[in-house]
Amino acid sequence: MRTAIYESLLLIPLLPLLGATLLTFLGAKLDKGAVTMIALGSVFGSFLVTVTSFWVFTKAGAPLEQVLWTWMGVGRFRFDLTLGFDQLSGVLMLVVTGVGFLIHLYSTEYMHDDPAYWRYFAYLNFFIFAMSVLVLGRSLPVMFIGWEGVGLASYLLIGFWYSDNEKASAGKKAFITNRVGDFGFLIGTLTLIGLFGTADFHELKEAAAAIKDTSSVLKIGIFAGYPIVGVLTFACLALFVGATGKSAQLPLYVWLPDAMAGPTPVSALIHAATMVTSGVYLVCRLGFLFDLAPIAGNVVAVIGATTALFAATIGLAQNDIKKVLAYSTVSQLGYMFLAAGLGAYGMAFFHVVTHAFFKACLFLGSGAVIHSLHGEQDMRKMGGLKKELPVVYWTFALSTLALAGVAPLSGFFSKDGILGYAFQDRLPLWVLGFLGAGLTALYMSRLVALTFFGELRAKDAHGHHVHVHAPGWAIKVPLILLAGLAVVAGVLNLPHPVAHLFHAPSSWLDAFLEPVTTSKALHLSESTEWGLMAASVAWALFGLAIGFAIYKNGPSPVMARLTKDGLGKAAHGLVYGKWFIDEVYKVLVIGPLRMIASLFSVVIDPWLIDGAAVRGPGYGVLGIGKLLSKLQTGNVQSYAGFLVVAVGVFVLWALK
Amino acid sequence: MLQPAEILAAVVFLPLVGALVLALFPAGDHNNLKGTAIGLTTANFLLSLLLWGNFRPGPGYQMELNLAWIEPFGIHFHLGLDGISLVLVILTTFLMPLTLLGAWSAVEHRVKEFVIAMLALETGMLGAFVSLDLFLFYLFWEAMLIPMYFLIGIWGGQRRIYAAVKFFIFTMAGSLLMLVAILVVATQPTGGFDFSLATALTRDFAPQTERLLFWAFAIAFAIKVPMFPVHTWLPDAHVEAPTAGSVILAGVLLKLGVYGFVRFAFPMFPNAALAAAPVLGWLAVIGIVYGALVAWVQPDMKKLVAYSSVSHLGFCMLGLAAMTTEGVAGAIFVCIAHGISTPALFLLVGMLYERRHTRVLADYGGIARKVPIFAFFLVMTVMASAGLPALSGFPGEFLVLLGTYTSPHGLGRIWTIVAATGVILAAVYLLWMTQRVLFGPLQNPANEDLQDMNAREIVTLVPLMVMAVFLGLHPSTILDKIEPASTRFVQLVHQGSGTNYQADAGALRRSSGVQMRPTTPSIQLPIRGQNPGGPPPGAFQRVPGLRGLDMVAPVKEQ
Repeated sequence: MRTAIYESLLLIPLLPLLGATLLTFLGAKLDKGAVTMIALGSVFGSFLVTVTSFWVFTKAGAPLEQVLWTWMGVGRFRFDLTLGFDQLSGVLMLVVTGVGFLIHLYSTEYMHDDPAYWRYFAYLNFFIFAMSVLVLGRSLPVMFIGWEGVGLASYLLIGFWYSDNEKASAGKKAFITNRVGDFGFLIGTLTLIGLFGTADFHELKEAAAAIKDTSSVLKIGIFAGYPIVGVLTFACLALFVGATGKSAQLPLYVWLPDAMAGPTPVSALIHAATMVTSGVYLVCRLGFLFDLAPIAGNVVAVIGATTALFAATIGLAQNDIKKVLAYSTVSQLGYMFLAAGLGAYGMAFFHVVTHAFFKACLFLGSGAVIHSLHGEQDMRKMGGLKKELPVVYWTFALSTLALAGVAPLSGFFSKDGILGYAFQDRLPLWVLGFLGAGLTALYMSRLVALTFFGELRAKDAHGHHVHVHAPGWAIKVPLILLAGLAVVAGVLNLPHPVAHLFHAPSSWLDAFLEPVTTSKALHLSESTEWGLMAASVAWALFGLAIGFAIYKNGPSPVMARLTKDGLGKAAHGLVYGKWFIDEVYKVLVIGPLRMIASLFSVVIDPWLIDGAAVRGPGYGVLGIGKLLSKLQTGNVQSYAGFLVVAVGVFVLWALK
Repeated sequence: MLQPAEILAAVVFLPLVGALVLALFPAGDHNNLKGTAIGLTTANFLLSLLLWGNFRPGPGYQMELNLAWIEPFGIHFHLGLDGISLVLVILTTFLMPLTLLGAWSAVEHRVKEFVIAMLALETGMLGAFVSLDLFLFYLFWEAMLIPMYFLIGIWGGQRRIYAAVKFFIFTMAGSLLMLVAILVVATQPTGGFDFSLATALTRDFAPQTERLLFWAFAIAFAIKVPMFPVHTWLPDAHVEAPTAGSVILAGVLLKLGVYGFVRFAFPMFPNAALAAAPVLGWLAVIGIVYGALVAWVQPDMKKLVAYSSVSHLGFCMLGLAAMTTEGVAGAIFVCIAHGISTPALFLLVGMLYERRHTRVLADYGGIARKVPIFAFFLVMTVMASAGLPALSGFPGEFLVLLGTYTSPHGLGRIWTIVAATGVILAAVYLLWMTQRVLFGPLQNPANEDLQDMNAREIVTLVPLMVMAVFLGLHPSTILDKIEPASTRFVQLVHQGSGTNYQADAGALRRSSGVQMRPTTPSIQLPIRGQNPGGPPPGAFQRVPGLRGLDMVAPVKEQ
């Protein structure tokens, strides 16, 4: 593999790490301006280095790398701390530092009155550091530094207002659920090392390319006797467990909705735009392995499509504006996995990028709404904000259209591309995805209608209409920029027919990512593609129209009547209660585990092990000792005599 | 100028000499006693760094000091270091001054006896780590028992006598078994006495005898580690011991059990050790999960940390049972990492205890707002303990898991998968504790006036935190020292038993023509790519700075 050494890559993670360190140790003493300067400066610096690296990378025509030092070199293996910058990591780094900077900027206003302003930015800088390591790490172990690092940042930021026990618990839940996924990540990594002797992406790719027949049975090594494809499938599935944890897929998605306890800009950055897409990034990065293990790919696609529809149903019934967006994120991540599982890595990654723009914009918009209503998150108490917050409304509306998949906004191209692949390869999954797309339009129009249309329903404690607090430029600028990107980002990867029509390059992003991750081709005829696109847009508009019609004047009496009793009530209860997956975990996993632990602690350890097995013989000896105490004469010589005899007997017995 | 071997002897005995000198001090002058003790142990730490500097990469013993001692019984005063001993010695000398500094205000009565006991303990531990004579080892091993017994029994909590006696009886039971075994080894097969380790490694025993002898050693060491199911003395000892006692107990003493397996039990009885590996592996894995689960439901912070030690030390034993270089090196690294994070946890718990005289989790909650510096240190320590990559807890656990997973041992894969759940559970119990202590509303009014850490306490913890970060980012500092010794250990065991130990991990890659590290472990520096001995020409050219395109090095072909 051709690589070029570029010794400035380290600056990308290093600058935010320096920022985080400075803020941690000095933040409390610095004034707000200095904190802002350090926090924003470090991320902007990181963004500039990313842009420079991208330019250098294009000129060099080969992936950039920087080897820091040997991290662990023991026995048969060696793991270097290597950073790598290629098409895939380059694009994602631009998103992470670019969107990251905008959200830092937004946060200066959103968090302005928080007494722990410095602590917030220390965590946020630390997140950018960890995310850069995750993206730039060129081997699985180095990636794992970032992988767990973002988990820590997420833990700290979800529980930022830790005095609220529920918020602290949400942080803990996120970290532990992610650890369950990390277990899979570790096992997958170990399996690949056991098979290939390396965990470096370049070396893995070369080794994988050299496999001639995946069905052949290994003759040597720790997996002797297993077919290569079997080991690869196991490794890919284990890594995918890691991906479901980080990217909130079934069955490990439960932490993400709770993660909304964190400050809203955090939800936008970590729990929508960047960190949660790490799992998709991992699958794309190792696409060459998933290609060799078709069963693993299928599992990824099925989990993705199922999650996409499943989470969309929950999104329909939530009343908390952030919760709706959270389930929407889970659902959209499902689409990304659907694409990745089908081998359409370029399309999956395209959706990562477009989703980063419109979902970050939506979260920041919801944050502006919450901020303006002094912390209100219940959509039933909003309404009528279209006039009060025009900039928020327009950027929010555009992003909603992008998310719902209305042409020609970015989300339309990315989601429609994914559905095209599903249509071509797995029709049942296309059905799930298509239904999910309709629900997406529906829950988003419900959200927009309840929030921005109708009468302002927000009341203060005395029943007066609240004063709507207008956002300043630090909030508006990121919203406008992100909405703009959400509108135009589609040109990155135009489908063939559209590109043909406008004489534009088709599938540019697919082609650009080609050296890293080879996407499957789409063979649909032009007329089929046009047909699918038309159907998608019509379906999205239909969903939007229904939602708008029902909710444009606020909470709908029709829906209230429908869900009052019988089947409607049951269905509403089920989706409102999030299909009770959390409760299932509580009853089936956490409860029994805690019971077993208590049993160990209260019964087994003190009584069975310590009592019967260890102290029991001890008391036995004590009893014998009582008997033998008759021998206790007080005569030192006879004691010494006993001792000599005893040791002598023991030695003789042992020598026998 | 002292010879390296003399420095080694000086490092071992300086604390004891210091203890004798302190015995002459007036008992009432607390600050003087503590200050001198801290000065002595700091000096000893600096002295031990000379050992580090004198150490040459290599698998054998170095800086050996071999003096005839009790000739008629073939007993030698034989000290020496290999990489494994070296890092454990440095860990001991590093922890000692910090422990004493941490105990500055916690120990107020019988200060003179306290510092003397601590210093005597240090000599005992250091001696045990560097003895190459079985008799001498046993002497040090027993010698450190006595000061520890007093530390728990005199400066301990309410049930200190019970805990001290339990600690003593458990350890003594194992020690006596070991004593008998040592006598047998020293007299086999000729009947003459020879206690030297080198001779012991060459002896052949009848299979039956070898098994008995192995288990006599193994039980003694397993109690010290402590392995499931002989761990029950540890929670009691930790809960009752003063903070200083807990720090040394968890930081160093437990490691002597692991060390005993590495230095004595496995290499001396390789056949029996290999036969016992499945049992030890399973016990280690059970210990990892069991310790973690029990830790999770402890209402007492010290008990929680004690059970977490059972879990962490399980990783050490698993690495040994795997019998691969990665596993053994990982096991020793876990010893060091645990010797950094767990002392820090005990010190932090001790700081709370000094202020509020309770260690019950339910008495706290929401104190992060009152004691932000404490909260920072606690979260950082918890993350190091939970094995967050780039902190010290990770490399060891990762290498143990890797060494076990790629071990030729048929059970390696299953062990790894079960042991890796311990990584999840570590997050569960540690975050559980963190939340119960730091987060939530401040409900207990008694915590309203909680004072944050003072300068002395910060100074105590900062070195530990620095090491936690440094060893996480640059574990090679230690791994380079312990790898040759670990390789030698694996070779000793397998040569002794005539088995082949290197499973072909990475079979695919080698058949595909991509070169990997040599399968025969060597002590030379790691190679990269296809140019052993150095990077390919031009590939690693350093190109500094942000200066436009000229910073791109020549593109290299691998």
